[in-house]
Amino acid sequence: MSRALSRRQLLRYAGVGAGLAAAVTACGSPASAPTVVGSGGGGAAESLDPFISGTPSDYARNWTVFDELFAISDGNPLPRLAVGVDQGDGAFTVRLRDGVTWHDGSPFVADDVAYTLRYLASPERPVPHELTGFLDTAQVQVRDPRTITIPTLQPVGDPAMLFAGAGMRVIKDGATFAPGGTAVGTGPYRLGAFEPGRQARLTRYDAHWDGAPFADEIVVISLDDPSARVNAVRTGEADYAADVPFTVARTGAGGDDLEVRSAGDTQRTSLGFVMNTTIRPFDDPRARRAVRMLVDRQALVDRVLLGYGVTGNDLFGHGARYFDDTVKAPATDVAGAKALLEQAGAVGAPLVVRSAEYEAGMNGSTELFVEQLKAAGLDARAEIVGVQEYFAPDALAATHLLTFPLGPFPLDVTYARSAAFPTLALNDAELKTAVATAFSTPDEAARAAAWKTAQAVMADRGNWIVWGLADTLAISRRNVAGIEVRDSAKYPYLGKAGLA
Amino acid sequence: MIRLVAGRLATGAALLVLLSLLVFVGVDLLPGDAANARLGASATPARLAETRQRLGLDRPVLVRYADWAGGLLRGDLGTSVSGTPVSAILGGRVANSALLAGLTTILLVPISLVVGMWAGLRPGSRRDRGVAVASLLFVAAPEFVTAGLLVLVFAIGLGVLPAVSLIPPGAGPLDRPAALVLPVLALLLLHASYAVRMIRATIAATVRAPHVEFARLNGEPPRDVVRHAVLPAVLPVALQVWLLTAAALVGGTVLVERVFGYPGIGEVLVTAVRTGDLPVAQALVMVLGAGVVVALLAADVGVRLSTPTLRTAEQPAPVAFR
Repeated sequence: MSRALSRRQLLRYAGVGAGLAAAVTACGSPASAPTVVGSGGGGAAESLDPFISGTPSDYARNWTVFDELFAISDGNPLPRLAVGVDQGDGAFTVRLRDGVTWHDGSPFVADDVAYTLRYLASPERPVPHELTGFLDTAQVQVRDPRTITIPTLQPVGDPAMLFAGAGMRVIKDGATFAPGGTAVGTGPYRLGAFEPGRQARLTRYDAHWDGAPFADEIVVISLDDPSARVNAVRTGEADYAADVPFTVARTGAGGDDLEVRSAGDTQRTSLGFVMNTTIRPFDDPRARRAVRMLVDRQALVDRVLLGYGVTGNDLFGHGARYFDDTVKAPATDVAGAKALLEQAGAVGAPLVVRSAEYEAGMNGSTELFVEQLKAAGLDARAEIVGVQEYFAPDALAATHLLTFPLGPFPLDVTYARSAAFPTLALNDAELKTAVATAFSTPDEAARAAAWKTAQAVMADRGNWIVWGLADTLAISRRNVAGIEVRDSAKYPYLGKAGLA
Repeated sequence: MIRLVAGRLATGAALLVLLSLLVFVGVDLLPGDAANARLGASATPARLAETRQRLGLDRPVLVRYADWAGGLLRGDLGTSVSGTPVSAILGGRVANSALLAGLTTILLVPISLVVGMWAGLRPGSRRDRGVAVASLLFVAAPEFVTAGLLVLVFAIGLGVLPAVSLIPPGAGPLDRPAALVLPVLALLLLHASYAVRMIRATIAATVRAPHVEFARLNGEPPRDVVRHAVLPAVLPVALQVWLLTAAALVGGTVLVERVFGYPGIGEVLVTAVRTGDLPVAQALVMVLGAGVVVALLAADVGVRLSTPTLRTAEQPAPVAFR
């Protein structure tokens, strides 16, 4: 269960980073390639190394240049370079796809996977990779070019989901990624010209195992400023821009051949607050329940999301497999909440709500939430800090509530993430047993039951207040088709994109 | 004059050393450090300690400063939180920003002089009042607002210029000059307006001065009056205004760059500050600090050279204003 997450992964799950825009060039019409513009931040630090990259443009680019063993599709693991997994004793064996070639023409073999695992576990990595907590990368055995056996450090019930959740791209045996170099993958597009923080030109790889891609060329543009991304599409310099702010979406697409697209209900980002159960008053389940009964979720959705979203049910993980959407959030009941606070001896207790703007709207929601608590007579205060200090352990330990956004990731990721941090975790025996079972059991029914139990615990005495599910919007030319959501709608999968 | 430049350079160098110390130690005192920024949500106490040790953050701040300053002298700017060398991140971006600032300055000199004279030679006239109002407007509006309006009119409305400065990989902004027009125009409107106001005021005061009136009453043609009596009084002031504007443009392009997605230091600086990428922020502050010191030195020397009494006098030059 010690599945700690790095900053890189945090950013990935939160969907923060340099924005993405894309231009797509269609088959036979060399003048028009889809140009995709991505959402913003840290563009100049973009990297070809799929284990360093951290911006949406990075992900969008690396995920068309490289392939993963398993991808997430509609919340389920989708076999890509792997075709299946066989469970063994303290290890599992991955069967690899036949007939896959690298962009340089050489065949894809098990040694490449072995190298990838050694690479991500190497001590020179800027941050430890989350898979190193599960896999014994030093003891990997290559059985034959199509078969590899990977020993585990703790039981892994669903290795396919583990790989899919970690988003592990496979790199070629011996690959290094010096600045100014290039990247050789197995993905649907080859990397052409690339300049960090500016553009990457991706050209079609006709020999891709999943069938030749549709567009001749895709240009991925990094634009930090959301208005600049939208302007690029509105003026025809790009065909698609991901992660468009709600304020911009409200003004309309800005052209007859343009449309604002929503990624749909299952791709919504869960926005909420986590209560710190290690200190008063939220060490008492009655105080936790009381605050959940006080919050006006609809007001937050209306004012922070401008209506682009719906209210949440206090559980993170919306859109994931095994998510329990039959659970209802406690009904608003101010009198009942006050009675509960009285019982918990929490009347008049100071409440500090910590927030940083690492997802748009975090600080706004915090201020509104604090107003709601104050209106109910609580001594609440917002503590707005910079992103770099947000996770400073000492300050977190002294905070009562903190903002927390989470994309539609597998429940493994969601629950591991909250457990990785003492002040975010709920120290509950039933929850721990259920999550441990869900992680380790290879039995599908047992896993589903375990997740049901874990979510029942969170609904009953949990420390989450998930007030809203935010839409992910994009602005696009109407003829852009085939943009798929794999991991997050903020950096979609462009491997099947084209112009209709 | 050589002694003056050498002295100013020595002062500048001392200032930079002081600045570097302030930046390094000051940043160290802020909450959160590179280990925190790197690890984010995975910053458990044990892992923090391990990362601090690996990054050398557990050593005393002055030892780390000496290390960093030594690297700086060798041209090694350190490594970003993301693991990329800082020099690779800054790379051509400093040059791109300098290009933006340089182009703006070059255009600003003739424009501000001509417009300033055109208005100032007839103080109180309708055109003078018009220039005063327009320049006040552009000085008062933040440059990103001006930039946004320019995009609305020229890119989205008229469709004649690009809304974003997309520079293909391997090319520079000069390979796509259209991408430079709106950013330069946005900067020019703000900074030239400031220069126009300063120059106009000096000219307006000069044309009322006794020696100008004397020349005019003596029947000198207006052109000669301007050339012999007005310009010599205005140029030292104008020169100082231009050089100070150039100094303000070092780092002053950041907001405009963001609006246009221009590949300069703006995006890097904003991101470094937002994500706590201290090595990058520190390197940028040093680059910008050095730029300002050089520009101020040039302003100082320029004013001396263009002012006869200062050129020959022994006493130090007046301190630059603004």
